[in-house]
Amino acid sequence: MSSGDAISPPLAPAPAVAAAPVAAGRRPRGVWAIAWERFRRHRLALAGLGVIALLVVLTLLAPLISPYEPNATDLGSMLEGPSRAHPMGTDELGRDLFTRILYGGRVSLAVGFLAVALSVTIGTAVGALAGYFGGWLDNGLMRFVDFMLCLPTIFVLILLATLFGTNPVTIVVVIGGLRWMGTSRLVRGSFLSLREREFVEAARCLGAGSGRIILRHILPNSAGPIIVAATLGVAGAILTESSLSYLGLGIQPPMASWGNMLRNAQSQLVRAPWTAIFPGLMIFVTVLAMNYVGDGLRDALDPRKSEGSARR
Amino acid sequence: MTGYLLRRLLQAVPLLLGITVVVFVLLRATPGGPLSGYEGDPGITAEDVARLRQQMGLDVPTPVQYVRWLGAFLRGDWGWSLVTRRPVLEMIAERLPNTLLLMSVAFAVSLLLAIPLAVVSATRQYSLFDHAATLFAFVGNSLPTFWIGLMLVMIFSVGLRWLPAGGMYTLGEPFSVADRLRYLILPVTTLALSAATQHTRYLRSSLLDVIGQDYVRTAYSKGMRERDVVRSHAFKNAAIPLVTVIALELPLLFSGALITETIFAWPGMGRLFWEAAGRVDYPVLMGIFTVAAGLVILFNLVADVVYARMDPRIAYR
Amino acid sequence: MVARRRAVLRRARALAGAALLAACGPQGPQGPAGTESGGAGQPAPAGARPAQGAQPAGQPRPGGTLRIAVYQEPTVLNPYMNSQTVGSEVFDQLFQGLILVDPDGNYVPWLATEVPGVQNGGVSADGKTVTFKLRPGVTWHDGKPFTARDVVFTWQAVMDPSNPVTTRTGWKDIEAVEARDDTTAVVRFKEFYAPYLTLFGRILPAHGFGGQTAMDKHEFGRRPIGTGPFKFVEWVSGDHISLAKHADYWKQGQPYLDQLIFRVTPSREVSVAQLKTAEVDVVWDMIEAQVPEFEGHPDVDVWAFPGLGVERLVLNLSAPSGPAMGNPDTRHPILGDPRVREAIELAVNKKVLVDKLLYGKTTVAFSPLPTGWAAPRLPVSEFSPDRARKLLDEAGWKAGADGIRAKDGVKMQMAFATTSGNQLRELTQQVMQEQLRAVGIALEIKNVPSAVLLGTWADNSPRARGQFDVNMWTTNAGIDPHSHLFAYYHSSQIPSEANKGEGQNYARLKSDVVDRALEEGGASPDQARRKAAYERAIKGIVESRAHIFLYNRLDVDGARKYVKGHTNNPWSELTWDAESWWLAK
Repeated sequence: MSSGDAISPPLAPAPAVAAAPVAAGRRPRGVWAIAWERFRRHRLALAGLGVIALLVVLTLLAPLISPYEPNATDLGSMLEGPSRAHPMGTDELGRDLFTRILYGGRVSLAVGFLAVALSVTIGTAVGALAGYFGGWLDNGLMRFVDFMLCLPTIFVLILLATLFGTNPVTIVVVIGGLRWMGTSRLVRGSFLSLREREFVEAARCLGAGSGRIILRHILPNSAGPIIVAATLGVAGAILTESSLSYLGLGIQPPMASWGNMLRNAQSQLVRAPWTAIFPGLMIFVTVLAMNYVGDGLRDALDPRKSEGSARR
Repeated sequence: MTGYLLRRLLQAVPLLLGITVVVFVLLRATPGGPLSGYEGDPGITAEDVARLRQQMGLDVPTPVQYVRWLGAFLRGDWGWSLVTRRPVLEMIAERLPNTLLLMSVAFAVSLLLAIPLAVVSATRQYSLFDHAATLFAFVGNSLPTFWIGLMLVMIFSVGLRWLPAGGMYTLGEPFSVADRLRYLILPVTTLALSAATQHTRYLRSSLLDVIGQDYVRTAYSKGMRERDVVRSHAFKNAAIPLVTVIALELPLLFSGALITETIFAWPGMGRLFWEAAGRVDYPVLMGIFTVAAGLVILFNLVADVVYARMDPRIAYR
Repeated sequence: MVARRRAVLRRARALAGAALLAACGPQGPQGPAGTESGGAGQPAPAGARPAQGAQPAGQPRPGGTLRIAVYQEPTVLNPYMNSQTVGSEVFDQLFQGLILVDPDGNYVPWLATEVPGVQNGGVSADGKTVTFKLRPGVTWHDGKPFTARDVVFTWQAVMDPSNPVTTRTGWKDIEAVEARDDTTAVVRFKEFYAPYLTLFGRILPAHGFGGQTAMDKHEFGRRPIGTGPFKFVEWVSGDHISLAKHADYWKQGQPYLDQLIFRVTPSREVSVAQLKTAEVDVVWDMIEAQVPEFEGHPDVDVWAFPGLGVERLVLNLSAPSGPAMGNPDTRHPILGDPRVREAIELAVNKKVLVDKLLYGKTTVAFSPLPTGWAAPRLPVSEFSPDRARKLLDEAGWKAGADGIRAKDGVKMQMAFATTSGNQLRELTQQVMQEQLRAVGIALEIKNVPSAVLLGTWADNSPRARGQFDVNMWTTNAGIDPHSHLFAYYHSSQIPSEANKGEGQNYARLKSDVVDRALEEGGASPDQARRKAAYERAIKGIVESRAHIFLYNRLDVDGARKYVKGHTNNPWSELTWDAESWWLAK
C-alpha cells in the first residue's frame, strides 16, 4: 500500500518559488508546449506513456481482440497452461486468462483513474479554497486535513469497505476519499504564493470575481504539481485496489480486476503459476509506467528544472 | 520551543478526540455487530442474543456508549474485549512491541539502503548508476506489498527452504538473537523494500535541490572535496525534507505492516486489528485506532521538532 | 459462531453454525484467502472414515512435539464463552464431557461409564430424569479428583446470570443437577429435552473459579484446567498455544505426544506454506482447492472426507421488500411459486459442482441431514434443464429477447448473496449463474461480508429480516438434529417483530406437515419414533425446496506423513483423538 502518492514536503523552500513566474494570466499554451518538449526528451517517460496508452486501447477493444466471454466458464478446461487457444492459460473455472486480463484491466485502470480524479478534485477544491481565502477557512480546512492524515489509512479503508460494500463505485469513492490530502496541501501552498502576485492583483482590479480568479488565473499556474501528484496517485490507487483484493475487500466476482485475479491465484500458486504471474505482471507494468510518466512530467512541468531540481 | 511544544500537544487533544468520535460512529454504523456470529445457530436463541447484548453493554444508545467509553478511557481503562474478555490495554501491549520491532528494523534497513543510493545518484545525476537506482526505486514501488511477500515465501521458504515461512521464533526453542533474525529477514525485506524505494526518491530530489544552491557551489569553489561537501553541507540540509517525509510515511509503514504481518504470521498490531475487525470487537478496535492515531500525531510532532533543530531558519511562533 | 455451539455440543467441526461461522470472519477476518465458513463438515457417507493418516503401520511410539497450524485463534479458553470454531480443537485436549460421538455416529461414554437410556435405567420413563454414572479415578490437571460436584458446577456456571455464555439452550430446561455421590450425577429436567445427551459436553472444574460460578473476565479463560489428555502450558497471543502431556491421564499410556502446540496463522495459505516447509506437522481445515496440490506429495497426506455441513441455497418464499417484507403470508414474486423453485433445483447440475469444484472428493447433497441415526436415505435430485424450462413455461414465465424470462412485467432476475471473500462459494456461484441462465433465470451476484449476511435481527441482517432472494451458506444439523431442524423449518421460528427475531426459518417456510412432524420428533425419548417423525419432516422440507441442498462440504486437513494414529470423525474435531496420535520419525 505504499506508492508514491506524493505527499510533498509541505514546506517548500520559499525563495525558490519566486523564480517560477509562469506566463501571467495569459493562456499558458506556450508553457504546455515547452513542457511537452521537455517530456519528450525523457525517453522512459515517453515509453511509459506509450505503454499506458496501449493498455487503455487494448482493454477498450477487448471484445474485438478476444474471442472469449470474460465470465464464460468452461469446466472442461480448468487451469490449463498457456497454449495457442489460451495464450495466458485458463483460470480455476476454465475461463480464458488473457480475456480476463483485458476486461480486468478496464476495471483496474478505471478504478485507478477515477479514484484519482476524485481525490484530485477534492484535494484541489480544499487546497484552493484554503490557500485563496486564507483566514478561518484556511485554518478550518487545514485542521481537517491534519485530521484526515492522522487516520490510520488502511484501518479506515478496511472499515469503509465493510461499511459501504465492495462494488466498483464504492471502492473508487473509498480510495479516492482517503488520498486527497497530499494534493490539497500542494495546491494550498501554490495558491498562497500565487494569490499575492501581480497578475492576480491585476485580474482583481479588472473586476474578476473570486471564482474566476481561482479557476482561470491561479489554477492553471499550479497545474504542474497537481498533474504530477495525480499521475503517481493512479499508480498508488491501482496498488491499493490490489491490496484490498488481497484482503478480500476488492472488486467482487464474477467481475475481474487484476487484484482479485491475483488473490484467487493464491490457492493454486504452485499448480498454476500463470494465474498469478500474468495479473501480477500487468499491475507491475502499469504502475511502473505510471511512475515513469510521473517522473517525466515532474521534470517537464517544474519551472525550476533549469536549476536541476525536482520537486518532491 | 517549550511553548511551541505545549501548544502542539494541546492541539493534538481535540484532534485525537475527533478521531475517536468518528471511528466510534463508523464502527457502530458498520452493518453486522459483534453478535452477528451468534445468529444462525439454533442453539443460540434470540433470548441468548438479547442477554449478551445487555451483558456487553450494547443495548444503550451509541452516544451513551461513547461517553462511557471515553470516561473509562480517560481514567486509563481501555475496556474489555467483547470476545476474549481480557483488558484491551493488555492485548495491545502484547502486540505493539512486535509491530514496533518489525517496523523499526524495516525502517533502519530502508534508510541504510536509501541513503547511499540517493547520495550516489544525486552526485552522479543521469549516470548509469542513477538510472539503475531510479529503476530499483520504481520497481520496488510498482509491486504490491503482498505480492513481494508471497513471492519471497514461495522462493526462500517453500522453494529453497532457507528461511521460515512465518512466525517470530522457532516453537519450543529458547530465545536467541540468531533465531529471531532468521524470522525477521523476510518480513523486513518486504517492508523495507517499498520504504527504501520511496526514501531514495525523496532524498535524491532534495539532495539535487541543495546541490544547486549557492552555498554548496561556494563550498566547491573553495576547493572542498566532493565527499566533504556532501557530508558537511548538502546532506544535512537535504535531510530536512526527508524528516518530514519520513514522519508522514511512518503511518504508511504501519499500514504495510498489516499486510506483512498477515503474510508472515507476525503476531503484531496489524493482525490484532484484522482479527478484531472480523469479530467487530468494538473496544479493541477503538483501542487500536487511538494508538495508531496517537502514533501518527506523535511522529508528526517529532518531525517538526527535529526540523526545527536542523534548520535554524524556521521560527516557531 | 459455530464454535460456541460446537463447543457445547461437541459436534462436528462443522457445526451448525458453522457456516455461519464463517461469519466469524466477516470481512475482516476472513482472511485473505478465502474464508470459508468454517463449514466443513458434512455428512459422512459411511465408509469415509479411516483417515489416510491412520496407517496401520507399527506400534505407537511415545514422545515428541507435534505442531498444528490453525488460521483462527480461540478467543478465550472457556468452552462456554469462546466464539471461534477452532476453540473446540483446543478444548478437545483440555476438557472432556460425559458423552462422546464416535466416528459412526454412536453415543459412547467418555467421562461417564455408560450412555444413559430408558433401557439401562439411566433415563426415567418420562425422560425427565437422567442419571450419569461417572468414571472413577479421573484427575484434573492440578491433581484434584474429578467428581459429580464438577458436573453440578458446570450447570450452575452456565446458568450464572453474570456469565456471557453463548447459549443456555437445554441448560435452562434443567430444574436441578444433583451429586448423589462422587460418581453419580442426576439431572432433572423441567420438561423433556430431546437432545439431553448433547449437554455436558465439557465439564468444568468446580474449584477452578475460586469457589464462585462467575466466569467472566476470569483468568481461567487464559489458564484453563481440565481433565483432558493435555494440559495448558502457555498462550502467546497471535502466535501459539502450547500444551503438554497430562501425566495422570486416565487412559493408561496415553497420550503418546509430549507436547502439542497450536500455531496461530493469519490464513489457510500461510498454514499450508508452513506445512510444506515442515514448520508445522498438521494443518487444520484446508479448503477443497488446496487438495490437488498435495495429490501424490511425497511427505504430506491429505485427510479429506465429507463432513456434516450441507452447502445450500436458501430461497426466500416471502416478499423480499416493502412493508410486508419477510411476512410468510405474502409471496415472493418469483420464488413464491413452488414450480419455479423446483425448476431451479432441476437446472442446477450438482454433480458438476462436486466433480469439478470439489475434485470429486465429496457427495451431492439430498437432505439437511446427510448422515447419523436420524438421517433418511433420499434420492438425489434430477438434473434436467429441459424439465426446468417446461415447468417455467407452465408457470407462465416466458423468455424475453435477452433469454431472460418474465411474467406480468416481472423479470426473472434475482440477487444471489453469500459471504464475500470465500473462494469456493464464489466459484460455485459463478457456475450456477451460468446453469440457471441456460433456463432463463438471471442471478446477480451480490455478496456481502459474513457479519452482514449472517447478522442478527437487531442488527437488521437482511437474512433475518427476509430482505433477500437467494442466499447460499452452509449449516449442519449435528448429532441430535432436533434443535437444528426445528429452528430452521418450523413456522414458529420465522423471525419477525412479534417474536423479536427468534428462529432461523429465514426461508419463511410454513408447512403444517413439517410443523407437526417436528413437534412429534421433539416430544419423545423413543429413538425409533423420533426417526420416523424426522423422516417425514425432512421429506416435506426437501419437497418444499425452501432450501436447495447442493453438496456435502468436505472436511479437509493435511499432515506430514509421519503423523500416525488419527481416525477421521465427522462428528467431532480434527484433534478429537490426539491422545492416540504419534510420530513415526
